[in-house]
Amino acid sequence: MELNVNNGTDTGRIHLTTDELEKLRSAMKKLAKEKLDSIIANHSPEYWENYWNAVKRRRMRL
Amino acid sequence: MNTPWYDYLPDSFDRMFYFASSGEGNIDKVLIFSYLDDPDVYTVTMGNLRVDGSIDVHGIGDTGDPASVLSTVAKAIAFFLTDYPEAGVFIEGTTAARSRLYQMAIVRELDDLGKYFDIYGFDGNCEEIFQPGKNYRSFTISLKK
Repeated sequence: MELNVNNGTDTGRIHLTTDELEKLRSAMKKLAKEKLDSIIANHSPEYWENYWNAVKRRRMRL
Repeated sequence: MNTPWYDYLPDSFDRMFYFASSGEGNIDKVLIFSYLDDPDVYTVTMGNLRVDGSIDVHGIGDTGDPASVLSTVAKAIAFFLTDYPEAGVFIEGTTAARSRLYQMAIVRELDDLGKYFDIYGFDGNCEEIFQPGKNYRSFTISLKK
């Protein structure tokens, strides 16, 4: 898939077609899920329990 | 923060940004914020857009300046947190080397970042305000209260 990017706008905004954007979005979501799964699998349940407890303590202090 | 030119496009589900790290106007980087199993914590994933439209998340063939790329990511985080002011962005490298790179970038940008963000480091047991010189396994960035 080649993306035809129109950057010749007054605002400098990049424009993708709806189809191109949807393909890009789909690809990124897939990658984000793979990364998320990898991050979660990278650490023990104890690590995550410590992390979420730390987040909760921090929020209670604010 | 000194950042190169970039553009972004809001997404109705996750939040996706895309920008040119080289500043030459061609889409180079794509960045997406995804919910991480808590109402207010998100991960961020960045990829390089290849000419065939596929995404590379490993940085192979990356010709962008790492400092400017990370600065641009910081600006994307700022925009994201503006829309989600109660959220935190969880940052961890896919490898230990990448996590160190993030830590180095945070240290370098700390004066600037610290004006807008609270940055926390997590060492696996405890979370604390980010301290330069200490090694952390992950980081959480939120808007300064």
